[in-house]
Amino acid sequence: MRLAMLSSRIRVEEKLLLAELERRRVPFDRIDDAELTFRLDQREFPYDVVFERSISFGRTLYTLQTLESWGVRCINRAAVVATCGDKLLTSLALERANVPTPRTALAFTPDAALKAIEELGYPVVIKPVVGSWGRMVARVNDRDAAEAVLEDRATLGSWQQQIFYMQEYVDKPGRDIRAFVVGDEVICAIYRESEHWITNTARGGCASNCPAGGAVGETALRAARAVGGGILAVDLAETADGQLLVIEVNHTMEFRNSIETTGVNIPARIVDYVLDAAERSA
Amino acid sequence: MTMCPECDGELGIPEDAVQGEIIPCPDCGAELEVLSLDPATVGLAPEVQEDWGE
Repeated sequence: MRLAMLSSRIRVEEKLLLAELERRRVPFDRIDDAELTFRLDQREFPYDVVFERSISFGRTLYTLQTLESWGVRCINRAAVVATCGDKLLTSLALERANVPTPRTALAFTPDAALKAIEELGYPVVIKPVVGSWGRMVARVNDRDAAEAVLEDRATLGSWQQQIFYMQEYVDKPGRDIRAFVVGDEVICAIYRESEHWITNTARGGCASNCPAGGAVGETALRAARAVGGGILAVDLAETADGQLLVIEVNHTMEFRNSIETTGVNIPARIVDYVLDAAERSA
Repeated sequence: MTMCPECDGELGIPEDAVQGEIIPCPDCGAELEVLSLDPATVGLAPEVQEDWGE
């Protein structure tokens, strides 16, 4: 079984995963996606299993789609990456599986988007369909703000930013939850607290342990299954009336602030899953 | 000794550095990517792209 890790920029997470693979003396190679070329007519690739950890959604998606068409086992699967990397596809998958998620609208022009926003009711969050780390996510509290953001995106944004994805704002209690799902298990979860409504730890949110059982675990597992399963980080928000809503699912999860916080050896659990999946596919 | 391409300050490459890792220049704060380890070379890290993340 020839294993490769697809990578680009090496974050703390990739470094921990590399160290875990090396600690176990697992034979593997790192593939830098910047150096990849594919001859689509040749269908040759020197590895049987690829573990995706590239920071680029586009490169990951196209690499995995190519490799899977050639029979290479990819972890996570290309379809899972495609779903998680696109907020519209994620929302559709969650709705199909009746996983609770904020009311969401889609439109393609500023006028249509404004109508949808006013139907949802302010405040509303406008997000790019592809994007991470809270980038370009805008909370609009009234019509003036909505018009300004929509016009900016329509005028200055790429074609993708003119796909208007809008969600009702969830009034969280100063925190949200990230649950780490590996296969069929929610291995741990954290609260991310922030005075700002964007709670990503990449934007300064502070992590503390969250019990991974009960409603949190159950909802996170349902969300992970809805998008196809694998190694996933599910972001959830608590509403004022005690509901849990799934905001998004991440396919190349970051976990550096969660290992000590939860006491769970997340890189080890991920490598367990990768090696088990790789062996089963051999 | 490896130098920062931005400010020419001296850089200490951590012993456990891996190729592709990002290290900050202690003098100017520039984000630098470890391009190779033997010999150790660095370059300015690429800017964050629209589709980067988790």
